[in-house]
Amino acid sequence: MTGNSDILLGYFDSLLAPCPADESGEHPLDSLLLDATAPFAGEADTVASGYRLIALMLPGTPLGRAAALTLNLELLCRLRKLEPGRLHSSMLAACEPEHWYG
Amino acid sequence: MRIWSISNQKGGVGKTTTVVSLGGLLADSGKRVLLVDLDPHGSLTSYFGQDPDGLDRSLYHLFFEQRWRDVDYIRATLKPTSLPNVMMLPATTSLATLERQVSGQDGMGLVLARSLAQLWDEYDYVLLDTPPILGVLLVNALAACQQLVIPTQTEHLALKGLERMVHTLKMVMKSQKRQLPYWIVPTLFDRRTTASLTSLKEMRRTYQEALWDEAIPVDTRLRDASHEGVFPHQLDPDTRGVRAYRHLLAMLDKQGK
Ligand SMILES: Nc1ncnc2c1ncn2[C@@H]1O[C@H](COP(=O)(O)OP(=O)(O)OP(=O)(O)O)[C@@H](O)[C@H]1O
Ligand SMILES: [Mg+2]
Repeated sequence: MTGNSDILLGYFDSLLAPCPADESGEHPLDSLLLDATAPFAGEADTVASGYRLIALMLPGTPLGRAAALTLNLELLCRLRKLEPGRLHSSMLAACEPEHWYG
Repeated sequence: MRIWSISNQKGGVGKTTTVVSLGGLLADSGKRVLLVDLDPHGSLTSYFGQDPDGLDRSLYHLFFEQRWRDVDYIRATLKPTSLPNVMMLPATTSLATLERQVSGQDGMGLVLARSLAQLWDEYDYVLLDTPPILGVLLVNALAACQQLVIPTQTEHLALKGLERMVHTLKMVMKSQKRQLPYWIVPTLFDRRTTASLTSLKEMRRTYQEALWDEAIPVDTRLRDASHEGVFPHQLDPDTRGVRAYRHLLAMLDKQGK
């Protein structure tokens, strides 16, 4: 790689790193979302570090799985707006990866 | 929501025209469309009669004070176009200072992606009109989109710009650890000129698979539409340019599925 490419890659890495606000624990669900999507990092993709997961390319994956994944991430997204409480904790439990594929 | 970025680091190749033409055709088929102006020149913003020097809210303002988290703020920033089901997130000239203002802050390449995530259920398609320079705005577009369209003028100088754009794309994909499909779309094609024909041949040799096998012809009706501030198909649904964009849309839509 040329020096020029190194400089550019450093620039992209910095711009595309998670925001400091996300790391401060201000939005704990962001990190939950990140953890939840991590196992799929290779085959699917996240927009905005997991605010939504977009199934960009899922070669050879049955649609059901991608759809389930999207639905769960949708749930997680909604969850961010709920006050802590019973609904919140049961939704959170439903989003645990082991429940993802029914 | 499907997000397509229309980008090339070279200027004047038909990016804004492509955004408007495709956006209009999508709206014509009943889709809810959002056009985003990431260019500090605000060509798209001006196209629909807004003044990039006079607006008090634009994409620029989403980068500060975490406004991108506030969906009501984002909604209130949108402006109408000449069709009811197409909205626009406008640019202001202040966008030109963004690079400097956000320098050194991590994560500033993800602001647009995060803003659009908030509008996920409200639009079917989002088209991003990007500036012809590599910087924080172009990176935001590449990070947010699911498919990249690279309009490339069929002339020799444009090939260098294309090469640079593809190189940038590859590095962003590396940084984001994802694959991003892209399409090269020959524009301003004039079959009577040898420059158009030879540069098209050259593109075909270098980028076989990524090259769309048709081209957008030179069509003054596209320019007329921009003077009128309407989508090209509203002015003339059957002009050559609009017909070519209709073919392009059919191809992109199929590929994006
Ligand atoms: N197919 C076409 N036929 C005729 N004129 C065209 C065509 N496409 C674009 N134009 C005209 O060429 C000029 C440049 O096009 P456009 O603004 O779409 O390019 P751009 O890539 O967005 O430019 P910039 O890099 O400055 O943002 C405009 O005046 C536009 O009306
Ligand atoms: Mg433009």
